Amino acid sequence: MTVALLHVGTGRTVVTAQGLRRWALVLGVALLLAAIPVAINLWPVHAKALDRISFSSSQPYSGYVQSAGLLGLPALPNLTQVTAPLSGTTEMRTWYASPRSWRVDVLGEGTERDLYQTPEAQYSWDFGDNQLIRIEGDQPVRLPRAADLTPPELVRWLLSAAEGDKVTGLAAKRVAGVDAPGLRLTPASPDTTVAHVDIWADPRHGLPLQAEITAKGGTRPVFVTRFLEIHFAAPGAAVLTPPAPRAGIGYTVTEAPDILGVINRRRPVSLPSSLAGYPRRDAVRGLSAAGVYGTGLSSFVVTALPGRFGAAAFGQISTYGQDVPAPSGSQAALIATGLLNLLVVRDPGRTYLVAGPVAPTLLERVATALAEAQT
Amino acid sequence: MIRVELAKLFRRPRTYVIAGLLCALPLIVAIFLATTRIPPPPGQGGAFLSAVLSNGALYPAAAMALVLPVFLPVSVAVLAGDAVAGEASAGTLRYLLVRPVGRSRLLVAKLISLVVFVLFAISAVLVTSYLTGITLFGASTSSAGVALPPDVTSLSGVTISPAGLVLRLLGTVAYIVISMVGVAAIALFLSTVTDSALGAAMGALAVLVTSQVLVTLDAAQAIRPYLPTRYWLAWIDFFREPVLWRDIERGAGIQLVYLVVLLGAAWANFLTKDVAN
Amino acid sequence: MIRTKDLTKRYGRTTAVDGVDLEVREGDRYGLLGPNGSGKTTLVRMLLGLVFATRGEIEVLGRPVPRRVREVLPSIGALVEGPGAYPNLSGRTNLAVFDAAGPGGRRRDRRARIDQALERVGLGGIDRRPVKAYSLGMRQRLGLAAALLRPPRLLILDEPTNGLDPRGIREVRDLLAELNRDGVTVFLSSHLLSEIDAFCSRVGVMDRGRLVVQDDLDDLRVPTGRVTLGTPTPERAVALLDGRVEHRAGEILTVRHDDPGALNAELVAAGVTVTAIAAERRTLEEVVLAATTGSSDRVERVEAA
Repeated sequence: MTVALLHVGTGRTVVTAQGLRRWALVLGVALLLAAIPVAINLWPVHAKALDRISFSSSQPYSGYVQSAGLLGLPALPNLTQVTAPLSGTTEMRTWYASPRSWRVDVLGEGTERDLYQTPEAQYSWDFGDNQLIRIEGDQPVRLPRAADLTPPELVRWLLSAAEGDKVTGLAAKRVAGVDAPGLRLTPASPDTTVAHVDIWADPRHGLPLQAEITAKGGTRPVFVTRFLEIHFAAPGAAVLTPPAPRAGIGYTVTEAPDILGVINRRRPVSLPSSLAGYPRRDAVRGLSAAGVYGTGLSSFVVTALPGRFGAAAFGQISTYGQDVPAPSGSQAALIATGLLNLLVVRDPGRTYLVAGPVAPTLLERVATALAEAQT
Repeated sequence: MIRVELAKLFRRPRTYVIAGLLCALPLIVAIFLATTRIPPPPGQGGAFLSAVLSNGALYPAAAMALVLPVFLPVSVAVLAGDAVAGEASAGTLRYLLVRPVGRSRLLVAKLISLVVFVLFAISAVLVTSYLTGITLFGASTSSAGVALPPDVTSLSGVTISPAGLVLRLLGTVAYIVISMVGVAAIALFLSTVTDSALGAAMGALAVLVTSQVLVTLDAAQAIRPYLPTRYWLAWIDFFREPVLWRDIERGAGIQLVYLVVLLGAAWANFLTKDVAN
Repeated sequence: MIRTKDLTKRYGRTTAVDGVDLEVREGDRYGLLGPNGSGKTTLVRMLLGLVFATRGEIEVLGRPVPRRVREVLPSIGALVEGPGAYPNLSGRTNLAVFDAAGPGGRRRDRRARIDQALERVGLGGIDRRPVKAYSLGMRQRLGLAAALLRPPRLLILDEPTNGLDPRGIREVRDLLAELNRDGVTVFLSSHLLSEIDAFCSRVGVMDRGRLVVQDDLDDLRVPTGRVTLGTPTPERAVALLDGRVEHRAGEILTVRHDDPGALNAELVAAGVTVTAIAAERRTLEEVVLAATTGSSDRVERVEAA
C-alpha cells in the first residue's frame, strides 16, 4: 500500500477513489498470479502407500532432473566433475529407453556435457572442449559421474545391497506433478554416516522420482535429487543418437575415459582383501587400482594413486582436511563432509584415496590398516 | 499514437547511437578474438565464444550473450525510464495529454515503441555480428575447400542446419524481446512515479542488479524462480538439441507476469497522477 | 464556457488554489491576473485535466472535468506554462507530431493546417532548424501555433506573451482579438497587468490561491470622483477652482469633481481655456492593489505572539 500512496500522499483529490480502485485491481491481479504457484504447492496429495520400489530397468522415461548437494567438498585436481555435483546444484536432462540405450545431458550455462549409451558403445560429448569421445568396452572401475545421480540410478545403487536395513513408509509428496508415495530406508550398520534415505516413487511404474539422503546428526538432507519433469513415454531414436564425428570437432576413442580408468590400466596394484573388518567386495578380474569394501550404505572405495597425482591429491586434502594419526613413515589426512568422507593415506611408496559414506572413526581404522598393509 | 511514438523513436539520434554501441561491443570482442585467436576457457567468458573460432556463423549467438547481461538491459532501462519522465520534464507530456492523448494509450504506445527499439537493436546486432563472424572467423568449409552454408554445432554436439539456425535465432530474438519487455515495464512504472528520467532508469537498474545478485545466492533459492533475471539466459537452450523448452517457457511466463503487474501499476499510478512540474 | 465551484487544490500543507468560483462566458476575453505563485497555473492545469482538484467542481464547455475532459479537449487550444516541444525536431515536425498524436485532425489536410497555423503566429517562413535552435519568442509562437492547429472554440493560454518583444506582444494581441471576433472565447492568464488591461474585457484577480476579484473590466473602472483637465493657464484654473485641485503637474490638473461636463462649463464660463478634460477612472492597478493583501513573493517576519 505504500506504493499506492505515492502520489495520493500529496493529498486526496477528486480522483483518489478511482486511483485506489485501480490499485486494488492491480494488487488483486498480482496476488492472484503470486497465488498460483502457492496453490499448486498446497494442493493435497493423494497416493497409496508404497510397499516396494521396482528395480525394473525396463521402464522407459525421459525428464528433467535437478540434484543439489550440500557436501562442500573442495575442488580436487582432475576430480571436479566428481565433486561439483556433490557440492552444488546440477541440472540434467535424461532420456532412458533401456539399460543399453539412454542419454543424460548435464546442463551448464552456455555449455553442456552429454553421455550417450548405445548398444555398441558409450559416447561422451563436451561442448566446452568441443570433444566427442567414444568409450569402448566395459569400464570395470570408473569415477562416479553426474549421470549416476538421477533418482532412478542413485536409488538403484543405494538399494542394491541394503539387506537388513529398516524400511518405513513416508508421507506422499508431489514430484514433477506426480503424487508419489514415499519410503524411508534406515541403514542398520553403525559405520555409515547415512541416517536415512528417503525415496519417493511413481506409484504406477515404481520409478524413483526423488531421493534425499540425510546424514547422521543432521535434520536437513545433504543431498537431494529429483525429477522436475517426468514423462513415461519411450524416447525417440533421434534423441538417443550421439553426434557423428566430423571435421571441426575433436574425436577420440578410448577404453578409459577418466583418471581412475587410466590409473587402473596403467598401475595395477594389489589391495588388501579386507580392511578394518570389511571384506573386499568387488569382483574385478585380477589386479586393480581400486576396490570396494563393505556393503550398501556402509561401503567405501579405496584407490591407489600414482606418484605425482597422489602427491597433488594428498596436498589438496591435507590443506582442507585434518591430519589423522598413522603409523610412523606414513601420513594421513581426512576431509569430513558429514555424509561423504575422504581419506588420503601417503607413505613413501604409494598414495591411497579412500572415499565413502562411512564414519571418520572407521576411516581412521582403515588408514592404520592401509599403512600397515604396506609395511 | 503508436505511429507517433515510432516516428519520435526513429527521429532521435540517440536511438542510433545506442544501437551502434550495442553493435560495437561484439565487433570489438571479435577483433580481439580474431587477431589473438585465444579462446576463453570453456565454461568461462561469454557463451559460445570458444565455439565461434571454428565457425563464425555462430557469432550472432555469441554476440547476444555479450550484450544481453548488461548492455541491452541498461539501454532499455534508460529509454523506458525516459519514456514518461522525460516527456514530463521536457514539457511535452502536458501538450500530448491536452491534445488529447489518453493516458493508458500513451503508456501502451510507449511500451510498443520500446519493443520496436529492442527488435531494431537486436536485429542490428544480429546482422552486424553475422557479417563480423563470417568475415573474421569464416564459415566452415567443406573438404573440397568450397565454402558451405554454415553448419553450426549445437550445444549437444549435433549440427544445426542453416534453416534450423535461422529459426533458433528468431526464437532467440523473440525471447530476448520478451525478457526486455519485463525490464521496460519496471522502468516504465518508475518513470510514471518520478519526473526524473535518470531516477527511473537507476531504479530499474537497481532492481535488475539486486535480482542478478539474488539469482546467484543459494540462500535466496526460495524466491529464485520469481526473480526477473532468473531465466534471462534461457535463450541459450534454443541451441540445445532437442530444444530445452522448460526454462524458456518459465522465463517467458515470469516476464509476462512482470509485464502485467508493472504495466498495471504504471496504469494505476499514472491515470490519476497530477501532471505538474 | 468555464465554470468552477469551490475549486480547491492542496499540495500537502500548502493550498495552491482555494475555493475558486470561476466563470467565463462564451465570447469573453477573460484575463486571469495574479503574481507568480498565486495559483494561476494550477488552476489552468485543473481546467485541462492535468492536475486533479482536492475539492470542487469544474465544468468546461458544458462537460464535467476531469470526468469527461476528453470530450472537450479537442475543442480547446491550450498553452500551459511555457511551450513544450521536442528539441531535436523542427517546428513543423513538432506540430505534425502533436497533430497526429490526438484524435481527429485528418492526415490529408495536416500540412495545410500546419502552414496556416504557422502563418498566423508569424512563423510562416520557418525552416528545418530544430526547435533547440529557436529563441524563446519563437518557441512561444510555436506553442501558440500548436494551440491553433485545430480551430478551437476555447483558447486557454497561460502567459502567452512570455519571451516576446513589444512588437511580438502586439502581434499576439491582435491575433487573439481577431480570433475572438470570429467567436473564439479567450481565457488568458498573466502576471502582467498591462497585458490584461490592453486586451481583456473581463478580469479575474488571483491572490494566494483565492479569486479575489471577478468582473467586467468596465464595471471595475468606476469613476474616482476626479477629473483630469489640461489648460494653458493652470494658475487661473487653480485660482478659480480654489482648493478642489488635488494635484498639479505642469498644465495638467487633477480636480475633485463628479461631472466633467459641468466642470468644463464652469471653466469656460470663467474664460479658462480647456484643452482636454476627462473623468478619472480607477485603473486596474488600483483595483488589484485594493483587492490583494501583499506581494506574494515577500516573506514577512511573523512576530511571535
